[in-house]
Amino acid sequence: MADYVKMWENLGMDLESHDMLCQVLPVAVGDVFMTQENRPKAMDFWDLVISEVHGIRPAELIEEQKKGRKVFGTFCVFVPDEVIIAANGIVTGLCGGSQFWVPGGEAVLPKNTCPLIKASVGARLGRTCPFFRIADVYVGETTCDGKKKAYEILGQDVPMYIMDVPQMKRPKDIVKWKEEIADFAQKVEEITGNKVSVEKLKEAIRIVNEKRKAMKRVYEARKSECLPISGRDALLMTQISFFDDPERCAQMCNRLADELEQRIKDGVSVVPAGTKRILLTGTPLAVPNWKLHNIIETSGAAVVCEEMCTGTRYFENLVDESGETLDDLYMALSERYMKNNCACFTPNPGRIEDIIRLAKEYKADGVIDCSLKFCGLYDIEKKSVAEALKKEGIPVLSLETDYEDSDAGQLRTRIEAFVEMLNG
Amino acid sequence: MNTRYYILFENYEQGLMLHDLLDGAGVMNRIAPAPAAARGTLCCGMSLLVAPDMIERAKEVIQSEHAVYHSIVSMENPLQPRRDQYC
Amino acid sequence: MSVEYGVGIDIGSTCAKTVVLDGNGDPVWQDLRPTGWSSVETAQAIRLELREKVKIGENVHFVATGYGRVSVPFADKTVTEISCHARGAAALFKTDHLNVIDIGGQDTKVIIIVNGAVSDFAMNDKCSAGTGRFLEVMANTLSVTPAGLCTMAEQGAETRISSLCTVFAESEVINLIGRGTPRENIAWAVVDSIAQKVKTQAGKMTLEAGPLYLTGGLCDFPFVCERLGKAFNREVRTAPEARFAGAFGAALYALAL
Repeated sequence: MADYVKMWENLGMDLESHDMLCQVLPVAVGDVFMTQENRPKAMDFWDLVISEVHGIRPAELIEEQKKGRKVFGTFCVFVPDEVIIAANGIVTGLCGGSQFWVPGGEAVLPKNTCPLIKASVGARLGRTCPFFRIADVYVGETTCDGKKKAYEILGQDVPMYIMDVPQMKRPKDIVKWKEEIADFAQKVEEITGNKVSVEKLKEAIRIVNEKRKAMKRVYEARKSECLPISGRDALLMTQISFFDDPERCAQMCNRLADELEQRIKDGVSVVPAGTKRILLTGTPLAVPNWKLHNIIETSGAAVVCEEMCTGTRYFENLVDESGETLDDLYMALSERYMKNNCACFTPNPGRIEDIIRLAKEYKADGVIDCSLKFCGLYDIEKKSVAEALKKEGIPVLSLETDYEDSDAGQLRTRIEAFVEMLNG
Repeated sequence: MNTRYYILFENYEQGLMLHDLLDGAGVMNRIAPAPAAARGTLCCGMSLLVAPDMIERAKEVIQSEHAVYHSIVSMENPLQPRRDQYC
Repeated sequence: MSVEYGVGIDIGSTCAKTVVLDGNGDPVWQDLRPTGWSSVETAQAIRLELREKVKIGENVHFVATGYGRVSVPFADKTVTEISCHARGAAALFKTDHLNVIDIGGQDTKVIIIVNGAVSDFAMNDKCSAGTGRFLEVMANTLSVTPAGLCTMAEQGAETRISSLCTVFAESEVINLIGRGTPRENIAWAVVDSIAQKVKTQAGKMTLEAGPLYLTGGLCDFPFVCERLGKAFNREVRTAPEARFAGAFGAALYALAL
């Protein structure tokens, strides 16, 4: 293990600050995960990954870089992993979910920027996250104004490539996104020195589709009245899937799904019968952001589904594998990715349809719609989400929070009151 | 008092080996990040979390299988679901 | 054996309220004291006094509510202040359909009750504007007590603070003082600002028809009701016991355990 210190040193990390981060993680992991009874055995894999979060996977990435492979850091579910994989590149998520990084971000960004952006910038500039050090290039996208401007700041410190996500979903926008993907492929070829061939791209599409199917299997199990996995565990699985090798991710998710399906057959649930089921929607929950799930699940309810980028949006909808030209395949990618109902689109009725559909599929008793502070897009959408849910007779609680612990008491009061209301 | 035991290792390969041995012997344990207070000079990494009613059996398995580990530390009330200290 | 007494303890950020109900649901004791720095010690002191004064035996249930509800070690159950205020207010005002505004020390809630059950609620986030805390900060700036500020406001003339943030509002108040604005007018503006903030908080909710019922620490002040009434364009009703609505609701939960 001592090797990691050397690795971090070689990555140019700030070891002293990083050590402070290492001090707080075990407490949070212990409180959030180890207090749970009867967790699935297959969560072992994710327990190991989170225990060695700045060790095992970074070391793997560095080994691959030594063989000449390039690592692409991404911030958003719009960036098509398939293109990078087709060129023998590696994708790693780069999202800041920790308050630890926020002050570093606030040093260069306005305070009223969302904590996700502040933490992501802070993680890079503070040199306390190996993933942010390892990535050869960052791939950004135009899903909000804050990110667009933050990428300009990051771009002064690290090579940055930006994809222009359309803001509407007309047929011409799908074509435009296809062209963005084709341009991106050229850039990826340039960085990796490898061609994106039809064959390689088809194989990459197949690999990522398999990962999506495996994650979906885990989520399918959460639809059962006999709930075989907590929301916290499912969230951890999803969060880590952004960082892992896609084939291993699929394998581990399938292994977990096998166990969950067996649990359902055996009637093994992680909560007492009648526990209220919550669908969570809103801004993404980047690792290690577990605050909301933990508060909900220690307030007498269970999270059964996340309609968010760190949730269903990451794996729903497969890419059509049948195309025989690069143009066909890029179009197939565009069509799949443009089904993503991010709040950056106007109008965005698809998200509300998804929330209602998922609430029904997952038999949710109520919906919690939570946005990160200063995320105007999701905050504004709360009104139409709440109105649509009320029309459907589905209770909804709208919340706003950040990465600080200080509002936990008030969140508990609101969430407990919501659960009391659902319990009638 | 709610005591928990953490078995610490030099590296995760050792940890995983004992984890499999304990699981094989039906000794309940979970992979968890080693608490900072217990880690000392060891760096950020995994440990095995064992409840008091299982620790003696865990020690028996370690002995009979000659399993390699660094140390075993006990902690009082390390796990508090409503502490609300996130990271 | 049925429960002889139900005790509701509402540990707020400023005051701890206790209501004891007998088996018929009639109040036999109520108590109001500062929460102090230790919710646990305050709760223990309340229990000791209860044993002495009400002679409660073993056949009693305790329900704790309020932000300090987890600090009542002997509570049989904790229920949030939102549910307790709803239940307490419904019983107190003898109606099953009502809108409750609870202005607490650090949280303000708007609660809609339909058929005796909470159907929707809103609560301020970390920002303390529109809460008792806001009032305290402003009273401090004006060198009066919060109660003094509310009384003084009745003599004031219409004055506005535009900012809804406590910190910014405080600078505005300091500006007003600097310009020589009478204290009464500033007090008027502070109370009005609370009413406006509560109105904003309730903005996205569909209120039940009929009056608003005010519970919590500010229900003794007619001017608060008046400004709230103006902001919502509705009648605002309250009662002296409304301050105990949370504890009363908790005691009703305790009786039902």
